[in-house]
Amino acid sequence: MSLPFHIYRSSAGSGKTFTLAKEYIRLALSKPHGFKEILGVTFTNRATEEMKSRIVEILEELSEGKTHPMTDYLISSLEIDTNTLRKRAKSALTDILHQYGRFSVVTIDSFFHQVIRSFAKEMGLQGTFSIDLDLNNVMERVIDNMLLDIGTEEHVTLRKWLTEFAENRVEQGTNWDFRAEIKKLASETLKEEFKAHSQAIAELSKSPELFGNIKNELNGTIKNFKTTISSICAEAIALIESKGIDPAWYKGGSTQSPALIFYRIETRDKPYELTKTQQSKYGQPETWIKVKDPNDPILAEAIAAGLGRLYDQLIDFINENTIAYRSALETFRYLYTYGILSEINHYLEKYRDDNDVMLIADLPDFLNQIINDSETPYIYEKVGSRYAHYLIDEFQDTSSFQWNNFKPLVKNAADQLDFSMVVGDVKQSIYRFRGGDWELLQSKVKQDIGGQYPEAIIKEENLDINWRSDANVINFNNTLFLNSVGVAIDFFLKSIEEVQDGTIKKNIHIQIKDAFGIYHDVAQNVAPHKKDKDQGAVRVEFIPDERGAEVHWKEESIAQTIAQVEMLQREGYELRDIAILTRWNKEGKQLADAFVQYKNSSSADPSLRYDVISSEALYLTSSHVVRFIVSLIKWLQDEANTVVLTEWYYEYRKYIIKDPQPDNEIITTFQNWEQFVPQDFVQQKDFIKSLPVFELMEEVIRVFELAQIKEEITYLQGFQDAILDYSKNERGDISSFLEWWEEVRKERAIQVSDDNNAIKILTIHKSKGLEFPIVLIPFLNWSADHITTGLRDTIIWCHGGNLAPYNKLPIIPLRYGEALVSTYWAEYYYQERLKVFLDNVNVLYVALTRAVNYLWIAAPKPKNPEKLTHINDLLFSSLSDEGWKEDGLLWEKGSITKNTKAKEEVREYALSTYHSHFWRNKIAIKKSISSQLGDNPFLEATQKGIKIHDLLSQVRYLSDLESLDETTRNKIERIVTSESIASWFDPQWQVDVEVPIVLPGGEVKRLDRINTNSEQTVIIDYKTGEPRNKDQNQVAGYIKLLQKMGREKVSGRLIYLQDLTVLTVRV
Amino acid sequence: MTFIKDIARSLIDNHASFDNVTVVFPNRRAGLFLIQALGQIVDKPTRLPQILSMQDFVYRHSKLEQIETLEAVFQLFEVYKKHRPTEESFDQFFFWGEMIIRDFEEIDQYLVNPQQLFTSIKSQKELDEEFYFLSDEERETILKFWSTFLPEATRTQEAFLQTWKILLPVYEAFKSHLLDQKQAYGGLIYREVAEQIAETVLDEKEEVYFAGYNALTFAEEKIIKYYVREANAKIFWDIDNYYFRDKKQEAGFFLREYANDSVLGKTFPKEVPNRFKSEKNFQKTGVSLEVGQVKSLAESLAELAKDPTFQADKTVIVLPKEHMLLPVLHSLPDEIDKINITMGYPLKDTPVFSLLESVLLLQYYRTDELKGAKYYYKPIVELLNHPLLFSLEDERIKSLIKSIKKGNLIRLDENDLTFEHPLLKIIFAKRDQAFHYLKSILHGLHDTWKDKGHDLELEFIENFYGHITKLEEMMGARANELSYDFLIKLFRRLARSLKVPFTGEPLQGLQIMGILETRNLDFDHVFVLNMNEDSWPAAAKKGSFIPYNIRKAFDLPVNDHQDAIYSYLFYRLLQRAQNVHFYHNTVSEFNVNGEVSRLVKQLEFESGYKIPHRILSNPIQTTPAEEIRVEKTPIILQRLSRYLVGYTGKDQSRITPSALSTYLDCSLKFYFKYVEKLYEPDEVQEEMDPMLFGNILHNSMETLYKNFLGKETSKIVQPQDIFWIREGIETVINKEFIKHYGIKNVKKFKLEGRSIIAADILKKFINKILDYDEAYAPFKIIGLEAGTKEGYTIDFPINIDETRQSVRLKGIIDRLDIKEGTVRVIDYKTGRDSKSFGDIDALFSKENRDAKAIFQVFFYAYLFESNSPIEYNVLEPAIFNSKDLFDKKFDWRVLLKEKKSPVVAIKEWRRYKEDFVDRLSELLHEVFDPEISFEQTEDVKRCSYCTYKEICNRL
Ligand code: SF4
Repeated sequence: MSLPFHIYRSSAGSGKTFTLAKEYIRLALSKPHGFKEILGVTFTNRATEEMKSRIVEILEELSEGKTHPMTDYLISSLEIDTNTLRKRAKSALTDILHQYGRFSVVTIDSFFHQVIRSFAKEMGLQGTFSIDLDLNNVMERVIDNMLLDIGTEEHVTLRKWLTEFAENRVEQGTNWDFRAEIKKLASETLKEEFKAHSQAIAELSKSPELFGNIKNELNGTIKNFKTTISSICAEAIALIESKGIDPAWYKGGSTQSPALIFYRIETRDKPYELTKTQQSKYGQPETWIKVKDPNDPILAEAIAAGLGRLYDQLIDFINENTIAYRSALETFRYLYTYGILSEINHYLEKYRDDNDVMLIADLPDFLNQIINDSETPYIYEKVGSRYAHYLIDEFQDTSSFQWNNFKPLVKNAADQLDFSMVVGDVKQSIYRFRGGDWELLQSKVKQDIGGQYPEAIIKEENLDINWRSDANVINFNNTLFLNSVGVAIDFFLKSIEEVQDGTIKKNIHIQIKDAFGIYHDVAQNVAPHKKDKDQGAVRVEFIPDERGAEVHWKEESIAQTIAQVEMLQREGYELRDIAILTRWNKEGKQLADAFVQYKNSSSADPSLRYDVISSEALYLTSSHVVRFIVSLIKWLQDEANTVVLTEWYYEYRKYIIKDPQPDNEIITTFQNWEQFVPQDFVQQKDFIKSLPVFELMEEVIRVFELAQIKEEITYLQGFQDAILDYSKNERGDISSFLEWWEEVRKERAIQVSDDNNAIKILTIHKSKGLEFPIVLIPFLNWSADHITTGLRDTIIWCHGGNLAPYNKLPIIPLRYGEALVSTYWAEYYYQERLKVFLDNVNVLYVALTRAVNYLWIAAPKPKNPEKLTHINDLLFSSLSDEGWKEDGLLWEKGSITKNTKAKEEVREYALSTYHSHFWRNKIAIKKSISSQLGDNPFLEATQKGIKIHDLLSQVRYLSDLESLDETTRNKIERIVTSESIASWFDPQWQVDVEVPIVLPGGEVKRLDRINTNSEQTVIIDYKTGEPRNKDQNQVAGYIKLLQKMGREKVSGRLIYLQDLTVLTVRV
Repeated sequence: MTFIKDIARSLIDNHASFDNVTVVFPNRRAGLFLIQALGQIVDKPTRLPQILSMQDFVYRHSKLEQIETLEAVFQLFEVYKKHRPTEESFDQFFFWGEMIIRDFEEIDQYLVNPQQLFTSIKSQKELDEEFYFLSDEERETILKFWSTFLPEATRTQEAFLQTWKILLPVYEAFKSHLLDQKQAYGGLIYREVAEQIAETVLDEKEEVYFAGYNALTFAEEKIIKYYVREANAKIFWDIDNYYFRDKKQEAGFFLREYANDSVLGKTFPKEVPNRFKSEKNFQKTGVSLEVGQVKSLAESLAELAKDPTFQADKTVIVLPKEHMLLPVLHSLPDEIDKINITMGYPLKDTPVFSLLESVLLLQYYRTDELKGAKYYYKPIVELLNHPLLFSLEDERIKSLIKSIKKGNLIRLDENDLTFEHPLLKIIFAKRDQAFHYLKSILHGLHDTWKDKGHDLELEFIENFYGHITKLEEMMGARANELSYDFLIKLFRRLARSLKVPFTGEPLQGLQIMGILETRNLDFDHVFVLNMNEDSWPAAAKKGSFIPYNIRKAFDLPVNDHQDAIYSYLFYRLLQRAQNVHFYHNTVSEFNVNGEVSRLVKQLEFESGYKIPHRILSNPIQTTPAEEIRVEKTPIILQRLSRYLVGYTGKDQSRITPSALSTYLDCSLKFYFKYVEKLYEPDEVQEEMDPMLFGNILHNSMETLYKNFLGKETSKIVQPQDIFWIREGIETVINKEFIKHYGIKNVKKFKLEGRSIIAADILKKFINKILDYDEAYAPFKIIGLEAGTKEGYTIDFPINIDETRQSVRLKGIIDRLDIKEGTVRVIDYKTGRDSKSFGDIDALFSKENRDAKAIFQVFFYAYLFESNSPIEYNVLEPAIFNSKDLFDKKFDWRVLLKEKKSPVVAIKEWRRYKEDFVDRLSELLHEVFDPEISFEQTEDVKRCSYCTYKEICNRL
């Protein structure tokens, strides 16, 4: 292997992880401690962990001398023999396990984070900054802060912008909750397009004048356009009226008459847009009049008198100025978002500073500043690890910012001829909305690393064997996607036919070819061990989608899905083998509900199972126990709230203790809740309420015996984890917890292991990277374009080019939609349209490549498949000819085979008891000394008193006083020099202080002071309080103790520090 | 036999009396166990040897007073100020100060020469000449770093140098500053002692033992070596061949070094034990996240405790993560009743902390305006709801919370926050001296809660008091200059590390401790939670300003060092254990490590022990929520009858069109709202809810016309009057907000936050409506809000169970006006409502609720017509709805779009009356029909804004 940079393109199931692990191990074995120089980069934390354990496992196998699929490759590329391979694997494994910190397989984010941290001071960050993952919460706070300020003088402009924004939303008749709208808009600030220009945008919004000028110019363009048209129309109408004719007298009548244009152009549904007919009447007034029209003379006269000229003038004007007008209009529409976004950005920055946090989305940008300014070696030296090799996974999902950070590092490596690689599949790029830029993998990486002579540095390889799926599934996809590409290219080429501008047309033409070029490698080979068999099956059902049909196609599809599940079980498949994929989360819920309903209905086959786990069901909020607790806590916060009272009370009786009473019986008694809940709760309510939230939760579990609901233990556990996670960092009171919970409840879910024997319902996006024996896709009909109805705006960021006033804007936010076709930004529109389409084809690709054995699809039968508005149109148009059944509704290949796979060993176990106990009777909090003394801790004197006792114990002789600081010395001096006491500090004594004595068994006594001379031993004990009998007994005990240790003539004294009296102990 | 018992035995065997024996352990805790072990062997009272921690032992040699890190940071700032390159406030400095102190500590502990360390390189020549004193390898490491600065430093590097350059002068100045006052931070004391150890005069009779060491700092090493050499001190090493002999085991790294040392080497035993390879049982349990680990542990413990030979004190639970303590405490099975915990209760979880944090926030968000201080509502509400305060002035607090919520108050005036209770008085006052403020609050709390059986809270209060006093002392004069902003940060940070110790059975019972506390102790049963990477070994240390390469070259500890320490602690704890159980998390996320600890992996691959692995997974199943159906039982019918004529209870009431609309939306919602009257005190609204918008819009319209008409209620409104009416818009809207928020202090009122925007939009709407009025004028207003609060009423006859009854209906009409005999019944709408409908049935449709607004305006027309207060010719329903208002083609009339006929704008309502009343009657019959239950709507979209969606589980 000679070329230092490899680009692997790995279609579905082609062993991407394997390839990465293979290269990693090759590099790790190529020299001692080789692994320390490799940086493996994965996309998710989970993938990181999997990659690491995979590498360790393979090394283990190799070091035990077992053969592994990569053995041959390693032997030949490292040019070593089996024995050496074994030895090297063993020592690499040992090195990795014992220098695990150097085993660098990381996510992009954590790598960036690590680097930034070591440059924190230079970047002006506080060393303690943390990463705030709770984006939602951050945005809420940021918007709160912003809104709080808008009342003040200095924020009048912001207020204007926001009002404009809110009005816009309200006028569209949707929502008064413009706060939510602002929040949606705010997410734009995290996008790279915005970040790249955030400085310039901030500058711009700081100069309201410039801003105002731009606005005026745009407004001018718009007004000018409208008034010109108005005046042409007015002139024409005046003419018509003066001739006393009805415009509908012209050919075409009350709907089509050309003269109606003057009346309608401003008020029609799409104002100022010309129809084809209108265009065709240009310059041909002779065609306006019906043959043999009795009114012919006057009509002709009107035309001659100028109506014809005015018509042509109007058409000309519109044709010439539409683009300018529409561009102004579209720009104007979103202009205020500029200001808002830059303010949000500003408040976001402030939030970061105030809270000492960064967002994940901030990392690449920040790192960019470091990388751009430093040379690679310096960065390494600062961080403390130097990498020579970069292996980057899922490269199609990498964003431009992220790549910009890696680029210099990887380039540096390649220049040194050190091996690096990226691997990914553009076809599986479905995270563009999160910033993923597949063009990097498609072409840019090659330019960036290869420069002018890529072939000298770069090797590209297509991993074209599909190790996952059976032959029929693979072949189905091969044909389908190759056909799809053809269909889609034709469609797009046709759709740009009307584009006037030649350059744009040409550019888009190229882009279409390029974009679909990503599918040129879609055809995969069947894995050797699966070859030559007619294995696997695919079935596609199209369901008629008639308006007003008795059963909606979706219901029909659900019914068929259930039938499939029944059939599969009869064929020996387990539920855990089956996955149902949906495009949207809510569809998953719909399916899950249907399964539950069916299970409880009479149609269900009692010998079969219908259990499903949908991602929806995994949310903590779908658990009764969790919902009960949350409502209860809310109520504890506000007992006057009868809604939450009813919530928890109803939940408790209905689902926790499963009270069979009818709903009315339960609900009507909510005022008497005390009679129906554990009496412990009634009594301890106030105590429970005062606990920190984690403890409160445990007490609720205990008192209400919630752990008895065995089937919800996992939720309970998950909820406790959420609380623990929260209280780790935040304060423990109920109200802040509840506030936090409101923000996160929609995201918190439990984890289930794959072995759970139930059908998994998940979104296609979540299924990426996974495989299942059986895949069912019941609703294959998602839109192929952005959904632009309602308020679901998609903003696209465009450049103003050289045109004034647009060139004064660093970047222009525009609303994605057909309206852009007649603006300067048509190209952006087409480009985006193409990309969305491709996104959706990619989603299809991911969905169809998950299955190992059997793929089942249901979709509504398309009405106008050629329009390609939905993805089922594409599917319908691209299926191969053979496979269709007669009715044109079913397509089928292969047949499902009985499942014979043995079940895998399960290492799972379940808890039989979920322990929750009261602990305060087992152990107590240590009393501070003051309260042990029973004194007021706030008396300064008491605290000093304690100190003095301690200090005194350190003083053996008067001479020791010198080492003390002055104030203490004065205090102690007063004591030890007082008449009654001084003699004990005389040097004639041999003094022992704080003498520890252990009794058999382990009890320890600590004596303050023992004075000894040749004649006697005196035990001295200091006391701060009033004399008590107890004191006497205590020291008498000490005396006995010393006697037992063999001392003779032992006596005791008590020195009371308050009034400096000395008492002799009576024995 | 444990390590400690071995020592005890050996001491007793070798000494008749311990009078001159000193034993030095790495920490204090091992000493307790030694005492216990001695106690178990001796048969009469015996004077104990002197047992010291290493720290105490070292400090014994020095006259310097140790200052804590926090105080060190404060003092450091005084020095740093004089050297700082840029103006930096204390707030900004603080966190860097901590890092600098940390670095200084290490430099001293490792006896590094600061002059050499803090060299900076500006030229090749310097690069070649400096660092001659280092070994080749070390030199190379450091050159790699500095060579990147040549020929010219980049901007980032300049930034680095700026701080780097001042570190030496700061170090030196700081050191002499401290020494002048006879003070030092820990590391400095070690350094001073180590550097002067040779001059120490030894007590000849004293016999010193060092026990249980692994990694020593250079200062410690130097001191110990001195004692070994000069005083023949002995060392008890706690080691095992498994990691001592095997060079790849980092656990034995330091020990091997010491064994090879000319001085320390002699202290090693001839025979190193092989305990690690004795019989052991292992188990490993994977759990998603953390709580499950604890619950699973609890189950194993309960099992174990059943065994009659079980000895709790031979069992340890190791918590690499402190926050697991409370979960563990709550899960310990009741069989285990004696425990000892070497950790503390986290103060930041206590109510006292949240209270103090809230008061700081209260002051932080305070704005001082000319008219007095204003306070932000959030901390106020937090405080008023706080468990330690809530009950102090129950009524007052409840009503205050209510008015804040109802009034959407964002900032409260100081005059609104008056209380009787002295503690509340202290809290809600303008205070700038934070420490005094906090202390007086704690005083107040203590006074309030003492003698009420809240011992735990009192403990927390006292603890905080102590810490705050200490902090104040440390800050000295600066204490009152600090901003609240910084103080909050500082306070949060401190509180995070503050713990209140437990009193347990120190030497009996089950032991719960962190990793570091396991040093020198041995147990038969070992349970370790969070056995993941990043917790054992712990995540890399806190930051340092000294770059990696420089640390490495100067032998300052790097991460490998820490890993080796953790590794030793691991293998050491295992070497005498019999049963070892690991629990680990399996979920990987950012900040959550799901990797099993490398240490376990090492064991699995190297030790030959089999470690059975199991995964916790409870079967999951959610019971889908059932439909809710409420039958009209006698109780419910009774409650419903408050809407009937003849009902005399206090809660008698009338049915409004919105109630009926609600019924059509969802009959269950109607039941909750109008029958059970489930009530939810309003939250301070995050959003402007549509209801509020609607109310303010029509109230404002009403007031505008009322003000215009004054007493001449029958005045004709002329087009030119509208101009004057418009003048009042701003004031009227403001007043409406004031009214709505229930604000007393009208003069000081200013709109805030979202209300400002809402008001701006309302202004536009009102202006637009007035545009239409201007065009419509002249007209006469005949009723604004139907003139009375009661509105118009009708008693509508129906049959319930074949008995004749009357339902009491009512409605308040937004506005009625008349022009040339046409009466308009006007409703203002701010929602999404549509203004066209297919037929009268559509108004009552449950499936499609588009015609909601029309239903209402028809209902109003019916009310008006039935009461007929004046003469008129035409009765025209009119809707001014925000959605269409700005449309050029706006028409206030309602449109009838019957199938296959042209669209008709309804001019005369009475044509539809009969149909309407028939359908209304049907609806009312249904509402009161005992046979028909209240049920949930099928259209879940309606649930998304419903107050009762939690009860219905329609989320
Ligand atoms: S949540 Fe839905 S079903 Fe329940 S009361 Fe409200 S509207 Fe009716």
